This record gives sequence, C-alpha cells and structure tokens, in this order.
Amino acid sequence: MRRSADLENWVLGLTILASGAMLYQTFFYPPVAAQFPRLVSAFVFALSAYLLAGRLRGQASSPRAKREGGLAWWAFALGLFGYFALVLVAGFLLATLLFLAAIPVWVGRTRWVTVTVYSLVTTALLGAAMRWVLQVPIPSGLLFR
Amino acid sequence: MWLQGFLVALSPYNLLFLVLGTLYGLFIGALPGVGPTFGVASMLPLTYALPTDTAIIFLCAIHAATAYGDSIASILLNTPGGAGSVAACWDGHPLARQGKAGMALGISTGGALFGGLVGWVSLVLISPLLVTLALMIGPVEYTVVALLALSLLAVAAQGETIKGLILGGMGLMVSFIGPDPVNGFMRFTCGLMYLEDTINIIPVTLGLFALAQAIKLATEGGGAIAEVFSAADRVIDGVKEAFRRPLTLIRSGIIGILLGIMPALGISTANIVAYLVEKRSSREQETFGKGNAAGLLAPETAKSACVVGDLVPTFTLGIPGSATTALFLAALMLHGITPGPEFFQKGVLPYAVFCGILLAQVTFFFFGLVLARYFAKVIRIPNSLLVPSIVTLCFLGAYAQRNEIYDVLLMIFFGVLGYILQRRGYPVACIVLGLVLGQMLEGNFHRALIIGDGKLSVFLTEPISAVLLLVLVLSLASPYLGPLWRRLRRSPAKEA
Repeated sequence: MRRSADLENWVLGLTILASGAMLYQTFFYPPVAAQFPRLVSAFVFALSAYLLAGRLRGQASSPRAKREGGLAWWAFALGLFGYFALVLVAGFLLATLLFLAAIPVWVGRTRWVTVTVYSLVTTALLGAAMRWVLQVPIPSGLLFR
Repeated sequence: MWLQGFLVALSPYNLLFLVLGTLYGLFIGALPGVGPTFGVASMLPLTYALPTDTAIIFLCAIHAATAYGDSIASILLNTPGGAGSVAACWDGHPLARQGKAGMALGISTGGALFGGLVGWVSLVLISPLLVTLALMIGPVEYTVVALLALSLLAVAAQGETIKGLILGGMGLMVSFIGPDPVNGFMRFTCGLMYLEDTINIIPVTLGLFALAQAIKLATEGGGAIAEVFSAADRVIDGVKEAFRRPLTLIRSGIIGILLGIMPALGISTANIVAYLVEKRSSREQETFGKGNAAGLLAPETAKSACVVGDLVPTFTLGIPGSATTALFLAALMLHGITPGPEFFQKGVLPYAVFCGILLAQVTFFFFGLVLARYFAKVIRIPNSLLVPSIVTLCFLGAYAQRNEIYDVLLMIFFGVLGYILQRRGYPVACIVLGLVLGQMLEGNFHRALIIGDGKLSVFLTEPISAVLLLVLVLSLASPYLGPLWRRLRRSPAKEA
C-alpha cells in the first residue's frame, strides 16, 4: 500500500508541475489564446495540490504491497519502451517477431514450438494487414533503411 | 429516407463490416476484464480508412456485441467481462454451476436482443426531439452542457469526484496543445513540430483503454483457469425462457434507456439498478443470487438498452454519454462530422447509421445463438499469448492513422499512465472526455464571451445556462450533501 501511495503522490506532483507550467506559459500568450487554458490549468493545479496535501497529511506507514503474480508492471512498461526502440532500430516486422517470442518466454511459457509458431503467424498477419488492408508503409528501422 | 437508409446499411460492404464487427466484439467480450471500451478503442484507428457510415456501423456492431459477449465470462467464470456485466455474475454463474450454462447464455442473448431493440426504438423516437432542443441552444448553453457532462462523469466515479475532475481537466489541458480553435495561435508545443498538429486522440484512447488493459493482464499472472463450466445444454432454451418474462423485459428495458440517455450513467449503473429493481419486484426474492432466471435477464436487458440509449446524447447533442460513446464522437470527428444537429443534416447518413444499429442488434443475437458456446472457449487463451497480441495490435492502430511513429510513443506513455491511474481508482474515462470535448468547449466558451461582451456573467444571465449551472453545482455537491444532511439530522436528535 505504501509503495502504491508514493506512486500516486508522484503522479499528483507531476500533475501540479504540468498544470503550473501551463498556467505560467499562458501569461506569454495573447488574451484569447490564454483565457480558457488559464482557467482550466489553475483549476487542475488547485485541485491536485489540495488532493496531494490531503494525502501527505493523512498518510500513515503501511506494509509494502505484495505483487500478485505475473510481470512487475514497471518491467513490462520498460519492455514496451524497449519494443518501441527496437522498432526504430530494426523495423516493425523484426521487432514484432522478437517481442511476440520474448513475452511468452518471459512469463514462463517454454514450449518453443508454440511460441515460434505464434510469433511467426501473428507477425505475418500484422504485416499483411498493414501492407494490404490498411495500406500503411511498414517502418523499416535504421538498420534496413 | 428510411428505405434509402436501409438499402445503404444492407450494402454488401456494410454487411461485411457488420459481421466482422460482431465477431470481433464477441471475441473481445468473451475475454474476462476486457469490455466495450477496449473493443471500440482497438478498432477506432481502422475506421479512418472506411466511409463514415461503414465506420459507425462497424463500431456500433463491436459495441453491441462486446457488451453482450461480456456476459460469457460472467456466467462461466464468475468474473465480470466488463463493468456492465457485474450483475450477470450474481445469478448467471449459479445457473452455470447447476449445469445450465447454455440456458444462462440463452437468457442473456434473449434479454440482450429485446433490450437492444427497445433501445433502438428510443433512439429513433427521442433523437428528433433532442435535435430540436439542440437547435434552440447556443454557445452559452453548449459550454455549460459540456462542463455538465464532464462533471457528471466525475461524480459517477463512485466517491472519486475530485480525481475525476482533475483527470477531466487534464484531458482539456491535452486538447489545448497545438493551434487554438479561435485564431490558430500555436500553444504549448515546446518547439516540437509533432505537437503542432494537436494531440491525436487515437493513441491516447488506445493507450488509456487498450494498452493499460494489456499491462493489467500481463501483471495479473493469469493463464490457468481453475473451473470453467461448459455450455453443453441448449442456448435456445434460455432464449425461450427470456421471452416468457415480458414484464421483466419491459421494466429492465425502460431502466436501461433512461440511464443510457443521461450522460455519465452508463451500463455499469444500468445492470446493477435493473437487478435491484427486479429483485425488489419479485415474489421470490430469496431465490435471487441462487440462479434465478429473472435475476440474469433484468441486468442483461437493461445493459443492451443502455448501450443503444447511450448513443442518443452522442448523436443529437454531441455530448458523449460514456467513455465508449466518446470514441464514437472521435470517430465522427475523424470523418469531419460534428455530432449534433449537423449530423442529422447529412442526407441519408443518419438513417443508414440508425438502420445499421438495428441490424447490429439482430446480428449479435444470431451469432450469439449459434456461436456463444464456441466463443466461450476464448476464455482459455492464456494471457502470455493474448497480451503480446494486444500490444502489437495497439502499436499498429497508433501508427496506422498518420504513419507517425511518435504516436506510438504517445500511446505507450498514456498506456502506462492509464494503468497507474486505474489501479489507484482514477476514472480515466474523464481524460478522454476532456480531450474529445476540449476544442468544442473552448470554441463555444469564446463565442459565449463575445455574446456577453467579454463578461463571464453571461453564463448566469442566460436562463437555460443558469439552470444547467445549478444542476452542475448540485451534482458536484451531491456526494457531500448526503453525509451533511445525516449529520444535521443527528445533531438535533442528540440534543434532545
């Protein structure tokens, strides 16, 4: 619970920062462009500060939260950013092939035949959908440009 | 016009997407914990390439089928498929435990068909009245109606009103990035060209609803399902059982329509209210929770009626009734159509869409009747295979609309943010509503100020606006009024 509460405080803190930055920026804009954003950002700033202050005042120490199972969310989130970076470097098809194989193995699925077939078939279907259905250029990545 | 609308809706292309949307919706609906919002959000990028009528019909088919398919996990696994199927667990799963899973699915199917048809009738009858009302209101009233929709969604977040308001404000803040709607002055871009084109709604919605859900499924460590009941008995018997209870059908249908039309009160409220009303009206209250057919029929009927009723304020006023209908709004805006009176002036389009919605109800009924027991097998797909597929589908969806790789990065950011916020009870739907309404709200706000000579008091001097503002203030205060009233009543009693 404690860890969860700290993360929420961070999110509220970032909200205060973002709304404060937006509020500050509005003073450099013409009146018509600044008016509504100024009202909204001030409102969000005030509410977030109120909520954060209440949480900091009322927060008691509590035992650490136990992860229920599966991947840690932050590890998975890092994996998503890693996948994005891999798409930029190696292109969508290769990155997807590797990602679709890596996640089941990471979670503990070790039947290589299933993982390989799943990865190949899904990548092929996605590539075909991009090329022929959506007619969208497939990102080729820095390596294959 | 209705005949032309039917002919357009029955075109082979539209029928193809009607069927595809229904099958996809049933597949997504059968997955535990994944609801209509995910189903619609995941296919929203695809609709950009489709004609407007096909796009809306496709999304309506997904919406209706996912909401219906949500009951499969509720009945077989005692795990709600979505927020709208919570009450289906209470009598649906006990029926499955008694070896009547097929009958339970049939009751759900029959109730969903009736609810969907009744909801459609209300859509057709009430829409013209609301459009007439919409033509009578101007920028001042529109500004307050949009603020009211945002506040109602925040209030409906069950005790997390302040969090809902913060997120609604965040959504509005995100909508401010880029050119302002009045003069086109570039704002909050930090010198980045990517931000000069306004924030694209598709990566945001994909991230908040689809990717966040994938993160949740990945971290739940699922895969092995201990006990699943198979639907070996006949689904059609359940449909017949549903239609033997006309009073339950009508009562629940009306509840669903009323809650659907009101912004922010969606299927999550409708199914529970209908269940409680049915239980209170029954002469066999003690059998509720133990496999009472009416206890399953009522929430399923109300849910389907609400799904269609939700579309009424979306199409007529341009005010989404829920997060899912906010996505419909986004789909219309992607095709250059402003929902509201303008939508009803687009020739045969509104009629084709309404006919498509009617066909969607019949289509999911047919496929549900024939294929429900097969779609039930979907719940056995392990998360280790499901999650990467959802992630790559989201990548595809975020990239496909603008061929902009940084839309994918935006989606990941909102996906992680959405996951963190949802785990801590924040209603992320408010972000989407703020983002969708932002530009319209700001434009109307400025027009309202022009009408009022630059004074904010114009929102109080216009009578309709003043009444709506009073409703807004009361709705925001309502979570606190109850406890305050109870405290005031207790104080005189104590003194005595």
